Amino acid sequence: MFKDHLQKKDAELVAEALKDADAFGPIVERYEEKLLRYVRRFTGLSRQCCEDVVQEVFLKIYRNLNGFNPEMQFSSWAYRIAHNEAINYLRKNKQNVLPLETDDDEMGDLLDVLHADVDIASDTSKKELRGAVQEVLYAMPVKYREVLVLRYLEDLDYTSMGDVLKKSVGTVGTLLNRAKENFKRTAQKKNYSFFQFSNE
Amino acid sequence: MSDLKKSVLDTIKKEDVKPKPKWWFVVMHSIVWVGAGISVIVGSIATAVVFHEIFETDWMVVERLEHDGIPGFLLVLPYLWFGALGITLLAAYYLYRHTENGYKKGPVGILIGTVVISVILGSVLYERQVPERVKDVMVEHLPPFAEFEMHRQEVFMAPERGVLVGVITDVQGDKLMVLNDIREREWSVDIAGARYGDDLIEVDKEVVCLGEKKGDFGFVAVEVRPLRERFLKRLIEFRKKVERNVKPPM
Repeated sequence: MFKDHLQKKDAELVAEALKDADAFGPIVERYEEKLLRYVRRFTGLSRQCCEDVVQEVFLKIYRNLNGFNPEMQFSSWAYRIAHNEAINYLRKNKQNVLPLETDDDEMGDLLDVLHADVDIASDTSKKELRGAVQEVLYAMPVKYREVLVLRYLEDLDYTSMGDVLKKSVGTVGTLLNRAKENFKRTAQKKNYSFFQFSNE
Repeated sequence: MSDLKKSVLDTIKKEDVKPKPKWWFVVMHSIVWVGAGISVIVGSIATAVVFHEIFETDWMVVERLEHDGIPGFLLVLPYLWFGALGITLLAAYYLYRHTENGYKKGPVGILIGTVVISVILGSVLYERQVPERVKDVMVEHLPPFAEFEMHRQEVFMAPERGVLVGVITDVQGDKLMVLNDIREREWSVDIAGARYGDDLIEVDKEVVCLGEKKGDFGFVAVEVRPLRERFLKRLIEFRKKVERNVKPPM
């Protein structure tokens, strides 16, 4: 019976794409926004650069379709390739990422999930907060930024994060704790007064 | 159709991009697994040789072989094999991490697992006397290894430092005995004033004499002790093999 590609599982789409290149289209459609958003959050690159990176990501996904391990979620695999490609892009271009102004509401949400460690002054505007979070995030080392983005902005669980970063769940947990600490220290260094840190 | 989707599909068609075949991934994964397996096996052999060097050495002698203030045990520890073991463990760890699901195990877990496997396999290989065969093959085919081993054995020839190890070849009453050292040089040992246990001074016994060197091949012993069984004969046999494979000095 005909099944619309929206209802199909990733593994089914992969099987179809292996037979017919046009059938790769629905995979691109399903993941392009997610991967674009992830690459943008992770690298801080312009939309055009992110599109170049993500185009290369999809070509890599297509070339390696036979290497997809069905025991893993396709999304984790796609994120992993996007992550590696983004890192390669940053290395090749050796540029210090200067974040663009963003309307990414979820940047502010990062603080909600960090709330146990960071209190936010109530009179802080959302825009101010968003900009501050973004600035702190891009001032952090990549290894810490990537875990915060995956966990709190992309909302991945530890197992999926491990699949993306090729690290064990335990290592992911450790990295995440260190990333939170690093976020606090970086924010303190930047003198963001509306982050009120408890004395440790 | 989004621009990105169109661009991706156009590139695939224009550049005739094809998915890599399934067998390519099977081969790549197999290479990593085979590499990890070889590393563990080599690590196990290194472990077996380390066991061999530790359990077959007479540490009673070694503790008296201090040289230039360096304790004897530091001179005879099998550093080469410790190094080989370390490298293979790291290689096994690295390769296992690169298997399809290797990243799911933490580094400590992988290292402990590799060490446990190496110790178990190494014990089996040690019991089956694989280390002797490995060292023989290496002595035969790797002259630098043969030379290295010979230098290591020099540690056991220290009459100038009051330690003479050898096999008794003749006993003349309770005053003198003749023994052959590791290089099979003949030594006359005065045992008139020496302490030693019953039934020790007999032909073919392996002993360590503590005392003082007199002349070229004379030695006055103050104490004679037994060596581990066949310790010296094994060293002598091995040395002969080594000497056959090391070029004589110019």
